[in-house]
Amino acid sequence: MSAASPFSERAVTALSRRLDVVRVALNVTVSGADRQDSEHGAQLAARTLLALSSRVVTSLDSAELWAIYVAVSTTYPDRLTMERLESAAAVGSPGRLADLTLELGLAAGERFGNLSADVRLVSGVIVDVTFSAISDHNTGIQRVVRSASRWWALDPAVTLVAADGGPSMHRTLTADEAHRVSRWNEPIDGVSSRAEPTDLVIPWHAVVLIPEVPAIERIASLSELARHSGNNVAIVAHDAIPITGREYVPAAETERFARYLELVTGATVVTAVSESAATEFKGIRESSLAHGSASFDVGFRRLPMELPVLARGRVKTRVPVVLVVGSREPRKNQDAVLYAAERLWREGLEFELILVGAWGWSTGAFRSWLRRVRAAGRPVSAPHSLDDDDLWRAYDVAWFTVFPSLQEGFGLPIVESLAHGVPVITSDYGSMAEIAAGGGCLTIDPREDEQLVIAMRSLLIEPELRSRLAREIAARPRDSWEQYATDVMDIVKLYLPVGAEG
Amino acid sequence: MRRTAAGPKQSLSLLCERLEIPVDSSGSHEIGALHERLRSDASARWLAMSLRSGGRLPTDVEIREYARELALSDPSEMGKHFIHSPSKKVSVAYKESVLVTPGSTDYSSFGVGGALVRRIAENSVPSGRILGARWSRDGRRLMAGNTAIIPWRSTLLSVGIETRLSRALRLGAAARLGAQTSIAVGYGTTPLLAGGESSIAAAAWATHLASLQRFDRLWATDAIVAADLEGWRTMLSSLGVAGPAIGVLAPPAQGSSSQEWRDYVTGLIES
Repeated sequence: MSAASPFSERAVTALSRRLDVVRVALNVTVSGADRQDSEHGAQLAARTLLALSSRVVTSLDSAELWAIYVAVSTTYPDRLTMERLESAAAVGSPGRLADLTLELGLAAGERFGNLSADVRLVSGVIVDVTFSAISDHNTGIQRVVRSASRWWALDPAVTLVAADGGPSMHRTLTADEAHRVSRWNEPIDGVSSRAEPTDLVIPWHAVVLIPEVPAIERIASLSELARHSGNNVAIVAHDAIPITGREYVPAAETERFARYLELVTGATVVTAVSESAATEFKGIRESSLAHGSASFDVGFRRLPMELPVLARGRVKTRVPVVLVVGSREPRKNQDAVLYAAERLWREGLEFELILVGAWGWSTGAFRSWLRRVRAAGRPVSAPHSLDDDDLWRAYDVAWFTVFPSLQEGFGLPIVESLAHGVPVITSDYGSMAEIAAGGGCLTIDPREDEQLVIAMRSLLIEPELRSRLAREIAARPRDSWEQYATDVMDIVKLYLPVGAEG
Repeated sequence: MRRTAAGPKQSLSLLCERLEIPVDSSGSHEIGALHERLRSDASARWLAMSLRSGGRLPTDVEIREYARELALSDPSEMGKHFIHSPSKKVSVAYKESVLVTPGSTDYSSFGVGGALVRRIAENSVPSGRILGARWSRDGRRLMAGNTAIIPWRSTLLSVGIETRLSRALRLGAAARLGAQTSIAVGYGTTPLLAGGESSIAAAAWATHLASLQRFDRLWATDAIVAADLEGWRTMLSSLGVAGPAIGVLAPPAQGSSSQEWRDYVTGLIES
């Protein structure tokens, strides 16, 4: 939120400078524009805004209008705001358009923007990594974003950005945030703070790549950016579970995802993390097209299988260790693993079961089965959080892992397990079957407990089966996050607007 | 033919009769055979759970948990599973046509699309050999008057939308495991993808679509809706689900006669 009144000397001077940035980009001439002294600021800002408005009432170019509004307000407009501005531009009065831009822009800027800040136009590829930048959460999507951002950050055509909520515009990252995004797991080499100054960024002839699902309050303005800013939006799509697997997620997640689809349907290209996820987004496109919505390209670049830097060698244990990785929620189907394990313990098989994962939602069935096997004295442990080092150590001792999820966009624990040379039991459809097809896995219908019992029993008692799967894993082609990041960026750069730099 | 039961003994007898479990020389059902059948056959479990609970239709999760219970229990304990069957009267509708009308027709949050749902749901009424069933107030039973209906090997027709997750999951399991054929009217995905609708409406609509994943056929209200639903069906591959066949059967126009609506309902079932 802005600390400055929109009419303070500091804010007016800053407004003048921001408008000048847009003026230069649009090649609009304003007399005295080279003077940025404070006495001159208010008049210059007014003249510049009027000149820019004059241009827009002639050009009726939404992208120019969008950029002018962003420069005034330091926020992104939503659909309603853009409609009002476009209507004013269509009337043909530059003064009226300038007045409305100031009225709407300064009101939004006071609430959500930073009216004393400068802006810069950024072309090339702008990657919105907001959540991974501000949060220490590190599962699923954040792992993907951080692993790829490590490489994207090295590309001079790429700018990593975040936003502060609501319709706030993008800004560059603080040193702290940049470390969290692109150097996760590396020691921090300095102290920084969220309060340190960052540059506000106006995407200009750029592709804005959105690899996370943004917070719901940001979606309206990002959707408008996708549709009317002259920039293209690219999405890294992870899954459509909140709408196809409604019973597996809380209602709030579905509500958020439905809003996210406003952004997706305004995007230019969607790069999914698996072929299965791409198929989901092709379905979304098919449905949208039926109602006349704009189309978008859909492709996929499967996430890589790369051995983490922290991983050590395999550790042999006398008693077999079966590892299950994933958050505790109905979709992950871990109650089935506990049931199958109980069946096998009753048969007299000896093994230890480790279930690693954070507590999610609707954990009743999981808790009930965990209580039951614990009450029977079974060797089961269920740590709810492990740092990466401990997690890799758990993979190192596992004889095999079990990931019988009912629905996934990808299935990171499968490739993590394979990267450690550990066979996996996973589901026989969707992205999980896609990964399993490369070898090293047994697939089952995760809705059929009996198939899980049989698969676990086989891996526990058949050393030759484990050996065969280990050979298959060794023969799998290796891939890297560097290659993944490069491939995605190569795709995204194909969508740079015509005439864009970068 | 419709058969009715009330209480543990009758429920168990009706179950064995419908599953064609033989009766031994002493007149008792072969418990071992029943146990084995229920362990291996999810449809049989669906019927058993519906009967033993006084017509409460189970969800897939409940059916699966029952399978685990059976696998870890002794067959001789089978009879105990029915001991607590309520005395509520239940009726197994066998090889009939059952029209499920929604518990509520307040679809105002779905905008224009909601008005169409309401028109179809309110005008599609049972007639002739079609049995009408409504959700009970707790959303767990299908009721025809005061009797809980279990649609077993019947044609199940749903004309409304199920926005409550509990009902949606029960309907979905009934379509997959109880019904011979399951048919629904398809209204598309607009509240999910339109963006302009409220996000709460989107969640409710996603719930409704979840109930339809395992149906055999959807009759879209027009060709655009059919194309829309084909997109939704494409999305289901990530769940390992093929999704229903989709066709078009336009509902009668506003102000149509009762006979035209009866013909429409018959068409939904017989086309």
